Amino acid sequence: MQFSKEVMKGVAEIIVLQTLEQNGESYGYQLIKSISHSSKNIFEFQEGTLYPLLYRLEAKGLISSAKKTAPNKKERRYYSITPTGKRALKQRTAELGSLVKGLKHVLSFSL
Amino acid sequence: MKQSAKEQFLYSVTEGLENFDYNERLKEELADHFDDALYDRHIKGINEQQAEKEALTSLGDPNHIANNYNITMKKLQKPTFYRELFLIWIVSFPLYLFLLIMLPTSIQNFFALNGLLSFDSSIPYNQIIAFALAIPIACIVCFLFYILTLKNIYQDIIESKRRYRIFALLLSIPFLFIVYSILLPIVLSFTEATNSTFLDPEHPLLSLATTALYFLYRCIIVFIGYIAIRISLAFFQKKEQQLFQNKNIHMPNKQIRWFPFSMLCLVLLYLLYWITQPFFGSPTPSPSATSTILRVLFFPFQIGNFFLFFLNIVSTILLRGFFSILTIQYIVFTIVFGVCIVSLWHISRYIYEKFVQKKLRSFPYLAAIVFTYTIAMLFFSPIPKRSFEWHVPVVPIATIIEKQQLGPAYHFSKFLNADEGHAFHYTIASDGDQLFINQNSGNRFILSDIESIKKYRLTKQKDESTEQISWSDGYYGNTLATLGFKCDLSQYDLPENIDEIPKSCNSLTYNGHTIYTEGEDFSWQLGPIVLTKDKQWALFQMIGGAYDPSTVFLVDLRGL
Repeated sequence: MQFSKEVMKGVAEIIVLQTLEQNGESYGYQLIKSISHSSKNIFEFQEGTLYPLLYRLEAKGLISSAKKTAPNKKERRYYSITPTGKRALKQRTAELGSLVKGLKHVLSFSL
Repeated sequence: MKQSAKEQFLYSVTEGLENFDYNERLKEELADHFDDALYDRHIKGINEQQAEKEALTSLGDPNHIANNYNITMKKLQKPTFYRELFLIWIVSFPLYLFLLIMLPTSIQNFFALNGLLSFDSSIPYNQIIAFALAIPIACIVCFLFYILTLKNIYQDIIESKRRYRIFALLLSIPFLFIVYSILLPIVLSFTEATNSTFLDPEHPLLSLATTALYFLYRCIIVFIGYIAIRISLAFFQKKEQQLFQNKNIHMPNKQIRWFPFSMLCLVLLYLLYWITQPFFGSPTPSPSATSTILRVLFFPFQIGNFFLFFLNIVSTILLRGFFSILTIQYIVFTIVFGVCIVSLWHISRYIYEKFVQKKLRSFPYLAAIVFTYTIAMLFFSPIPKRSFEWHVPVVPIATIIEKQQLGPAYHFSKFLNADEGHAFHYTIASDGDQLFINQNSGNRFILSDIESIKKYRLTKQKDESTEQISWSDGYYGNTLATLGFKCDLSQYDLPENIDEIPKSCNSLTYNGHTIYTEGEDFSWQLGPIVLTKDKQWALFQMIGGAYDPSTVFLVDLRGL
């Protein structure tokens, strides 16, 4: 499913951080598949979105990366969540929880 | 076929990418991504042609990928332009000064330069005023410059036509010239404007380099002030998180990446030029300046000043005296040294994270630039060696006093500078049988029992000046001559225009007996002399220079 940029802004980072927290270190292709699988194909990241997002998170120090050999014997860049990233994830998840709660009330009311 | 489709895709993406440092990595990851997508489809039994088509589809539109990447990276690199402006500000100053020096004197008179040399920067009060004025004014100018140029004018040009970026930056130079005209008198007022290599048309290269380097570290101080204001404002507005988000972002313009590194070479060349030039009026290169290059390189002189700053602070607190002029001078070097350490820490952290932890880290160009400039300041001046050969018994009384006052700190500091650890200025006086040493810490030492000088009395008194014989009586010292002293002038062929600088006394005799002779090198200058009533003992004040500590020797004249 495609979401508008406005809706995805802020959420995309949480999704990536949560996936890395849950699955451990992963490379780009794995991440896209994991996100797609865990969201039951609702979130389908495009490469054009994912990689700049990963660089941004890394520049902020929320994730780190290192080159490692993948099970298919090829070298891939693996991303993992940093302790700062874990703290940020916790904080943002709590914020998002409240947002969703509030949103639910508003949307129910308008319906 | 497979390779060409992949390469074609990557080529399409690359074509759309703007100049960012992550480009290579993006290409690499997209290539891996393509391979993985293809591999997955092969496993599923999809034929090669179809698999390749699907893999390409899954990657998406190359233009979309490039655009998305460009937008994200642009946001990350927002502060870059400011850095470029900062660099241009630094680079354009020597150009401004060069033009100024080349102008006829009549035109120079329109600028405030001429009045500068009358500013006595050796008075701490003046320095404090200059500091107090210069930094806020410079910060305000910087801030206005930033707002006017970056926010409102240049950003538009850059957004619309990227290729004209460099011209947009160059446009800032005329504006900067105006800023310099306002700032220069203030900035120079607390530099050593009387330095003979400063604005000397006969040595334009040396003059330019010296001035530029002086200015650069003033710039750094101003820059720190500006950053401090920004940080303070951010904390006040509770936006401090934003300050640190972009700290590891690359500087995109490859053209200016060579800059910090080439500066290091320039600094070393400058140093080389300096030590091979006639030194302080000497017609030949100074052997002392040349011989000190190793010390300058391996143990920069100004690092010693950093420690002396703390030594001064501690001794001032302990002795409850006044801050000496040296303390004020050392503040600058301490800040420079601190900046150097912070920059070095950034660079080291980059090396560790990039090469040991294999993390994605951009090279800290700003830190490298700051480090290069500040290290240049630490390498700044060769140390003239000061050598004496006494021919009569002497007691280094100032050294003894400071050793007792400062304890282990003295022994530590004496290895750090060319002044053998001295940290104070002295004046001397005589009252018949007693000799007085006034330290600028506020302490007065009375040598009442000269035979046993270790029992000198330490008292806190007002410095009531008594008679002392100084070179202000005339360089040959008419008064000194009547007392039996005779001074041989320095052998250096000093130019006429530095007549006002006290010349060194190459050797001193008393009643025909040699008191001391100097080495060939630039030495301490003989300051005032005071004698006891019976002329058996004398105090010699030796002056290292306007900003250097002075020292005092108790000289035994018995039997001469």
